[in-house]
Amino acid sequence: MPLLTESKHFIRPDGPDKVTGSGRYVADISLTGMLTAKFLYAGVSHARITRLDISAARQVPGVFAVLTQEDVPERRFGSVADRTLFAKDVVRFEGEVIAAVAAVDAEAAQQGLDAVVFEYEPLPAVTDLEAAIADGAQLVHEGWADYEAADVERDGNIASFTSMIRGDVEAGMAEADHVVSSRYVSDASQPAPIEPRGVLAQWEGDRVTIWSSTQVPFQARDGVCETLDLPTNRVRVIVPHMGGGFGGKCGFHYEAHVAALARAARRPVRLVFSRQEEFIAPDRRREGMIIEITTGLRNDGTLTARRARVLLDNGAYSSDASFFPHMAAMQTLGPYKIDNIHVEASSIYTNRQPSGSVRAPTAPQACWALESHTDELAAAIGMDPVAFRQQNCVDTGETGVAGQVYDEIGLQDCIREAVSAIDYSQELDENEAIGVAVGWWPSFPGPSGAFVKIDSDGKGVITTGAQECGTGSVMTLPILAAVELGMEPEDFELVYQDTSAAPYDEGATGSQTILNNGRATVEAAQQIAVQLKSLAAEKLEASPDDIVLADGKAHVAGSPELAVSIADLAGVAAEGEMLLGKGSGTPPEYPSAVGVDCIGDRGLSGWVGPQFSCHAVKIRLDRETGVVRVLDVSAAHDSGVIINPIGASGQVEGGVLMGIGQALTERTVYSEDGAQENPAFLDYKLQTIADAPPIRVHFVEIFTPGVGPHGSKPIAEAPNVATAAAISNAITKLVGRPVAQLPMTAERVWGLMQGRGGG
Amino acid sequence: MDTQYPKTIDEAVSALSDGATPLAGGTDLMVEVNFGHRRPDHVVALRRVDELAEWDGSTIGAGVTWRRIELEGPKALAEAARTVGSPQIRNAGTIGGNVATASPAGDGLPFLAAVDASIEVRSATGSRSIQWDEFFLGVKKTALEADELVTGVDLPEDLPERQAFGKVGVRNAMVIATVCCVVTRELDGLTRVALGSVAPTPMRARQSEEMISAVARPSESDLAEFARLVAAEVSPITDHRSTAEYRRHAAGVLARRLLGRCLR
Ligand SMILES: Cc1cc2nc3c(=O)[nH]c(=O)nc-3n(C[C@H](O)[C@H](O)[C@H](O)COP(=O)(O)OP(=O)(O)OC[C@H]3O[C@@H](n4cnc5c(N)ncnc54)[C@H](O)[C@@H]3O)c2cc1C
Repeated sequence: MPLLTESKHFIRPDGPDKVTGSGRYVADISLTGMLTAKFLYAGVSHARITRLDISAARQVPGVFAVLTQEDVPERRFGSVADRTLFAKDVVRFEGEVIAAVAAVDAEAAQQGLDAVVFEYEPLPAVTDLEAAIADGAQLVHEGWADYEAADVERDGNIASFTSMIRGDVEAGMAEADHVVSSRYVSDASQPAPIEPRGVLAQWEGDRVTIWSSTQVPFQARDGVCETLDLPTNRVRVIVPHMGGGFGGKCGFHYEAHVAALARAARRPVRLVFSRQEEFIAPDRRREGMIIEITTGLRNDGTLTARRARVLLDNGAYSSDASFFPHMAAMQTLGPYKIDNIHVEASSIYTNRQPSGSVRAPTAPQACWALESHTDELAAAIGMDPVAFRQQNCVDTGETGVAGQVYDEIGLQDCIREAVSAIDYSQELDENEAIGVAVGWWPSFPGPSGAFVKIDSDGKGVITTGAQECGTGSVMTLPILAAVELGMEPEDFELVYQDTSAAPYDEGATGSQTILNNGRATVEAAQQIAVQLKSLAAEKLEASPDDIVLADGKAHVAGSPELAVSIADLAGVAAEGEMLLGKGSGTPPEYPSAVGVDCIGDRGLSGWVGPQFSCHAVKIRLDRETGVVRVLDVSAAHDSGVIINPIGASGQVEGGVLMGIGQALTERTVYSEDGAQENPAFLDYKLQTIADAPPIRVHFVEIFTPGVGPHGSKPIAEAPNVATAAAISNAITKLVGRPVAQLPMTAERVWGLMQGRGGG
Repeated sequence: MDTQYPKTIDEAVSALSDGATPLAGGTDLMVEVNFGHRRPDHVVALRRVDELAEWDGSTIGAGVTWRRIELEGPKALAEAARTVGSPQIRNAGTIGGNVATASPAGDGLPFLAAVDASIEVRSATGSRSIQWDEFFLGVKKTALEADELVTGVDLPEDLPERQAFGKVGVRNAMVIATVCCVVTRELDGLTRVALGSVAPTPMRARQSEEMISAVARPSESDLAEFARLVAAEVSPITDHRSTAEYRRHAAGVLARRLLGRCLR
């Protein structure tokens, strides 16, 4: 396999567009005759609709279309097919769409909404996870049993259930010298992308083009096809530049609503969310959780057994969250050696905003709980928490919690590197402490495709189904094509984010772009390499097997002077058999996990290319106010071989900063009846650059076969796993007990010091 | 919505008597408009009224921005200015807007309370000067009449040399105060303590002032007593940002630390 060379230090081509403002986002596009869309939201968390009358709204001057569920096919969708485009009979969270209006401008659209008659009879709101699964609880979905759902264990308000059992927990606990139990509670938080989403739809005949700020254009397209009964080739989804997603723009959201409005209005229609809508309506928030863990250990530090119970707040609909209990279960077990496990995890319906994939779903919260608990275990036997992890974390050739035996992995190196970079044994002020945590995250193999062509002047175009959500991974594809063809990344332009131009890809989700679309791009480029070698062989009178592609030329191995430029070869090819490659390849298979008895497994017990990390964080605590400042962070990651170091480091820095926010400030506050109390940046506090500490990034580069190209593994979500956990452990060192509530706000830390709360 | 762009205070106040809403930097007003809380039909934009941006000795014009105050203001007010929003907000937002909004969390207001400033206002029929504690009446409620314009804030000629501003918030920048506070101290010990975010209006902690003013060289235990008194004097509420209990505690800690800075 060709090695990556200097091309590693390639700078992404979409940067100048974005920083100069010339890049175009959905909200920047307008079409002749375009109307403005607005939604009417439920504004109540749980209610039966008693009257919904849009006749007056349709008469409002300037209003071209008003739609409700009556106007679209009755199709339920989601990982449990539990929702419809518009509310039908019952509303289950405040941000549910009741009706949509398209009008000449925002004012007319608002007048249209004001004229909708919407009456309802309130139902009791389900907001407490424990109460929701008690006998006789109010059901969020009376008809849950009739919903279609592939391989999901469900029961009443339990939208999805997983259990993982291996070995004998009772026996393991009996062998323990200490049994430590902890309970941790995490609030919900938000993806908060800087660009509130936009959707613009235009019909031409029976075909519709939809510009949408989605991370997953093919899923968006498929959602439109499913809910509006259309074939895939008549729905084209194009994504202009996108201003961040963090998972919030994964899934199918509002493309069908806007397409339906545009069809009814016979005009292009554009929807652009306000910040408040971005908080309240999408079915993508980071789920709140209750995590209970009990672990048995011996005096020598050996883990003998773990029992855990995890409750996740599913919210009102299942979106893509059915696999979350399984992810949470794996995160609660962690990258440790324990032979006896019993974990049960349930995602529970409530009348709150639905949960869905936000960067590393379930991981930061569950890792925070597990790693806080792990420091409690180390404390129980008086062992240093780093040494405790070195003893108990998995290493090459060892068996993980789900029975998977690991090939070469770098977790132990990550621990060593993170701890040494932060100078773990330094002398600390009495208000300072260093906390350490390890994290892990799977890779998600999936289908993906790409086309590559080289035109007559030797310049290339990669047409990819992959989606750029800001991480730079699509921008990295030219490196992969260039390496195969002995060209430079700058020789390639990208056509991307257009479902009609490119083959299928799962989108900017699950950190999968380089893993899957990288494989496709490499395969497509390799086909062109074969073509180039055969053309060069003819010209240079050599065997194709002896041709080497390097430095923009094809030369005979061992005789660099016997060469022809790729541009010349491309000129020849353009006259006849053109240089065209297509790739998709076969996704890596999930390794089996042996000996784990799992309900609701969904194929995720054995992880393809698990990514490991260790984060170490130095903090200062203001003991009088509970304010925690993060002074220094070191983050070491095993994500295999790093293909684009600038991009990968950026992912780690961003993930750490996001982790600090989740640790200290980010929190959606709910009223008792399920409404958000802080759906705005005024009261929902992300970290800013003024809060950013130095972040030392280290990659433990292990060539990992059978995952991504060139021995790589993914990187985008993994950095968002262990930071909150490391901060928690640092706080515990200073105050004696874990805060046990996430985020660990100044007030909660202070409360703990006053003897309240805590685990 | 129509907008007027007067060049003088006279033109501006005459627009106000026709029912217009003043717009300075817009950093409070436009947020209200965006949230749909306000929908003014008639706006009078103040940015072109040069007189409002004048800063004449101890009178700071209503149109003076936080950016200017950050550079040129008295110490504690400059410190407060530095914590207002972001550079963009400080370049647009004005002290007049802060005063007229009268948010309990307004970072400029504790300084005005600490130095006993007056608010200068004018209408088409005349002008008046209102002492700060008669101006701020409640949460976003002031003594300003609809046809009156804030023209400036009037500070005493002599300001105590030792003065400090501080703010407790959930992160380092762009943050609403959980508590903000100004402490000033004269050479003879006379101390003033003003706080924001812990009552419907900016407030003075007068018993705490009295206690600590009488102590020439406060000991650790005096400082602790001072913190306890401040915490007892404030009357914060519990909301989704914070509990009353925490705000009360943080107010005492913050005031004590600021006093410590003044004593150094
Ligand atoms: C992102 C952001 C961050 C912020 N951070 C802070 C912060 O950290 N601390 C803080 O204290 N504030 C903060 N604010 C609030 C705001 O910036 C300040 O209150 C600012 O001083 C308001 O001034 P302005 O000129 O923008 O007022 P405007 O928005 O123009 O006006 C505010 C109100 O006062 C009225 N008004 C304005 N001028 C006059 C006048 N001369 N006479 C009579 N009425 C008048 C207007 O009609 C309106 O009702 C923030 C705002 C934003 C958007």
